[in-house]
Amino acid sequence: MIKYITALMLLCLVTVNLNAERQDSISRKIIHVIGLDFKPAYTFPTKSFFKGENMAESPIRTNLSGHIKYGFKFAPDGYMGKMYPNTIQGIGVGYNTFHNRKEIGNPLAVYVFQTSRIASLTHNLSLDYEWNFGASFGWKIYDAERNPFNTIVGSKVNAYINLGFLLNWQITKEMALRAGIELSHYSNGNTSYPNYGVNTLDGRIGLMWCPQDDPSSRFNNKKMPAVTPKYGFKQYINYDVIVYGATKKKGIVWHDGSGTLIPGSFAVAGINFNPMYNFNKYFRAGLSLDAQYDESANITDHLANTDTPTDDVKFFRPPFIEQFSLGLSARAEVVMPIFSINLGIGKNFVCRGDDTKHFYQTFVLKTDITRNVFLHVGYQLYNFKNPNNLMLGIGYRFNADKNRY
Amino acid sequence: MRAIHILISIICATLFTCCNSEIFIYDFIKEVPDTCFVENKIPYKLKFDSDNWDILNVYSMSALNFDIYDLNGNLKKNYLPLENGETAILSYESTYIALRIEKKDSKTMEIICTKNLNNSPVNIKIEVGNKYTRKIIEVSIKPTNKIIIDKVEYDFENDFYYSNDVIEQVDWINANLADSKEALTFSFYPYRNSQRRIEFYPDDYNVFFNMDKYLGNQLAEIIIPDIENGKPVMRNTKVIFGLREQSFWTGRVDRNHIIQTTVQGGETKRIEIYNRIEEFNVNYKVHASNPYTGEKCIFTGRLNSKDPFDCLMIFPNLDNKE
Repeated sequence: MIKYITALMLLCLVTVNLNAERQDSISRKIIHVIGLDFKPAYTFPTKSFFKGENMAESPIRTNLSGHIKYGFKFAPDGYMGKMYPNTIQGIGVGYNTFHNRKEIGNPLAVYVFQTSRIASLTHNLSLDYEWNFGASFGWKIYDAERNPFNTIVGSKVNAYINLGFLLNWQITKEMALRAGIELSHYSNGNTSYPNYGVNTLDGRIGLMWCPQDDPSSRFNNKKMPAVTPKYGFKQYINYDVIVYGATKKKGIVWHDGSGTLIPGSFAVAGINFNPMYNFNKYFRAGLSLDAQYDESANITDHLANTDTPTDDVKFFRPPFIEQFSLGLSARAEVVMPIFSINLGIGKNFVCRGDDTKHFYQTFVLKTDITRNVFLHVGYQLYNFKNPNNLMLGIGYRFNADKNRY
Repeated sequence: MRAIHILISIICATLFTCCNSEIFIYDFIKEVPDTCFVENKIPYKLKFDSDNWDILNVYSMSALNFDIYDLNGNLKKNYLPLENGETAILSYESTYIALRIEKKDSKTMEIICTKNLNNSPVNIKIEVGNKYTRKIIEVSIKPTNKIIIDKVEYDFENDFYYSNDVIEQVDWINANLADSKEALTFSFYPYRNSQRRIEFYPDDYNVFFNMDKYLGNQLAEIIIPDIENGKPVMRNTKVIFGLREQSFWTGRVDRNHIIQTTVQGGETKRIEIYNRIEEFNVNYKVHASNPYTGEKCIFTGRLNSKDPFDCLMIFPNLDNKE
């Protein structure tokens, strides 16, 4: 998990930098942004640990965090600046406390973020969104002897995902006050157990300082960006082909109700073929043919051990058809500079066994490396609630240049 | 593009190295037959899918103590399990069963039965497996063909014993008419139960009592000697071989025959009724063979015959009796 998230973070940052430089080569200018945020949060009591069944014998209901961010937006005279004048992307660092350092830790989150405007409300007020994706370090993990009550967190590093809606008040031409609510999620993508995850509902207030901002790109609901292709925007279809992989952990529940974490990590690999219809510059949707091989799928139906429960668990390798699935999903994608957020819901139609015969949901962040190549960081759930696996890979977008401006 | 190639290579390498192959073991037999039906002298071959198995144990209703030989026929040991994939021939032989379980290589097990004299299939369970998993191979060994009796020999010259002086009491009564003034007549049926009785005294009782395993549930009959003028003759009198005691009517005496005696009033008399018995003993030797296997066997023992032929009525002196 550590190596995955760290590698992806680095790749995302490099990608952001590359894109910034690429853009810079056009406009010769990007606009730097510094942000500070304070977030008091409500921690959802999804497990008894949060309700007070912990060593401190105290409910964990709140979480506080402070964030500092660096970002940039594209200069308004460049192509990307004209396309996405209010979009800022960058990296951030957040320090969290759950007021129980001994059992859950004070994790430090490092992440990439992107924020942009949804609607201008008044001359100086707009409704914005922001998402964060990254890794959080420093969790205290479950330990049967030393930390037995924390059945929530199984790895010291967990993914950090955040989505928020903010009111952005442009106080001066360089300073904005931002406040809103957010949802945050921390989990490890089933790379280790336990992995119930931590979910918080955050209140947020912060400042964003944009010292080099060009007055022409300031928040102004009167001056909506108007960039059109040379011959007008033509709706078109692009084709994303994605190859991804990951590892995952799996547990087994014995007939007496006890459970064992299966040693080692199982490989997951998949290929998506994803034709997407571009409705406009912000949104595309389509279908995806999703093939996935999961080494751990249905193995509990092929338990080798005669005497159970046991710590020395072994399995017979299931037939390929029980580890492979082919599904069809509907995909919707929000397109922004560098990053795209892709949501999908689908059903496996070529599959065998309880572990693959499901509806599945995907949450994917695509990070453009070049015009055609992007990083793919995703997560798959089964039946809207069961964590399945990460989807870490690379994609190639065919027909991406169809509608260049 | 070079960076993309490197990235794809890293993903492929990561996936390849991430396979959790340590957690999987080969299933040494994916399809275990419900029951392996083993017929006489026809090896039942069981194919295995991998070599990670040993013969761990063999179970049956009664204990089967196998001798375990190597493939050259040298005795290795007499206990299970086999270990570390060792090959061996397990051999079990008793009076009624002869069985071999052969593991000559890591992918095959053969079950060979050369004898099952039981009248119904013998079911055994062969446990095979390894450190993690064990599977049971159910085996049903069909009964082998029964033997048939070829001939019976009696040794009249050396071990024949004959007597007609034997008597057996069959009835009695104490007739006490001391207080009576009238006479009373008593009637008896001396032959009411006077069947000819045959008893076998085999040299091996265990074999004799399990003769159905050799001959089948329908035991065979053999001809026994009769007596004529004090000498043994072979007519066609048959008895079942395998029942130790048996009796039958010969027609020699009339079971409804009545004998009477009258006791006078004031008398007290004890009346005893006896059968006179013609008895002989002779050693026998029954020769049998299996027509399918050619296996021969001989059952030996002594035959005893008691045949009532007359009766006696005796009035013992009560004073002496006391």
